[in-house]
Amino acid sequence: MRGARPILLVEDDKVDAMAVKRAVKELNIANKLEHVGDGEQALEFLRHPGNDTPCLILLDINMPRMNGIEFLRVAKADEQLRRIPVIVLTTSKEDQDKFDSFNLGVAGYMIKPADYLKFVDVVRAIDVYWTISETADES
Amino acid sequence: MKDEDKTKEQLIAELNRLRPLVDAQDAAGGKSVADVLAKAQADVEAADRELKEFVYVVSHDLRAPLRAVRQLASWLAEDHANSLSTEGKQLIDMLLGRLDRMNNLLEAILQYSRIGRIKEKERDVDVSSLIPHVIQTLSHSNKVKMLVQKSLPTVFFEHKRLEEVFRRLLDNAIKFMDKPEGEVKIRCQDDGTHWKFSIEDNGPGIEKKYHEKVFRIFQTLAARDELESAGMGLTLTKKIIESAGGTIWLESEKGKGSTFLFTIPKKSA
Repeated sequence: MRGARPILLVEDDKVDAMAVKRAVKELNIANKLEHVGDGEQALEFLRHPGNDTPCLILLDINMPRMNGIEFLRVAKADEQLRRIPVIVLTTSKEDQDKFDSFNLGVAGYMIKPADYLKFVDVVRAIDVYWTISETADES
Repeated sequence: MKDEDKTKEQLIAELNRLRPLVDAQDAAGGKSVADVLAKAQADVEAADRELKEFVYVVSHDLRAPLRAVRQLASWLAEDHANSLSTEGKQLIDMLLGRLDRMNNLLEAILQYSRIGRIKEKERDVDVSSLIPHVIQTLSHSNKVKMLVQKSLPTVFFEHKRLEEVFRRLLDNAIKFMDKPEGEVKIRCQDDGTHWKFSIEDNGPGIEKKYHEKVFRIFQTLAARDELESAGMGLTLTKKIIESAGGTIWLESEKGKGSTFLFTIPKKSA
């Protein structure tokens, strides 16, 4: 992915997080992968002064405490955070979740495939796209 | 028909048929049976809603740990290939196969719960242009000859659902075809208040004793190890047709092909 900034993974399921880490390693993606378990922790990470702003957020929807949609409502209303591209990575095929996500300005909506090799394809596509695409950060 | 075989729609229709009788009895000074009936209907509808919700939550939330198990098993096979014997690898392959099956079953339950819960707007659907489109999307459609009646009507229906009905019925006809010269005839008859569609094949046929069973959830006539199938296709088809006020049934004898027939009430916008 473009630049050296980290990717922030917001995911409560340990095995799903392992799958992302594995795929990132397998595809030789050089960006550091930061992992948090829910929306509240994600906001905490993003607002912590010492942390690099991520180049991309991979966001699960169904999570405890603060779910993905709730996180988007806060992040997209925050002048400092709203330009960070967010890609939803979920099992939910519900239209409502898709409507809510795109209404809140997500950059993509990916269904996690049951098959790991297909999952690697999804991560590869995300990597290729966000290597080509510009982002809107100040640095 | 036994009570438990009736759909919610049929039960409600029956309640509505009884209502005038009950009202008359009411007027004659009987107890307020109409109130009792109205409450019963509300209860049925509430229970139905709750059940749909329940099915959805169960199948949706069960998929996540299932996916996790599947991934862990595949990583086990990949990362520890050297320390696994051939037999060990075979066991993991079987495990993965069963996990795929369970995923398919859950996916099927989800699809089933979506019918009726999520409704598309009904509109005019020209069946004579729908059929060629469906045939195009079927795999192995060249295995059988599709004989489509020249003129087919335009019906008022949820477009995607009707497409699904034809796709599933035609797909079955192809999947189970046992003749080198397979043939499927798609026809429609004007039945007065309804359109009656039929899909006739010259495949293996189905014994009479299974005619009702094939429409039931998760029922398959072949062992799943021989033919991987959730056993949900005809159940979904039946639910789509019945929730639109039609009926579906099967006419077949073993060795003499099968004809699936269904009716759609004539309606317009």
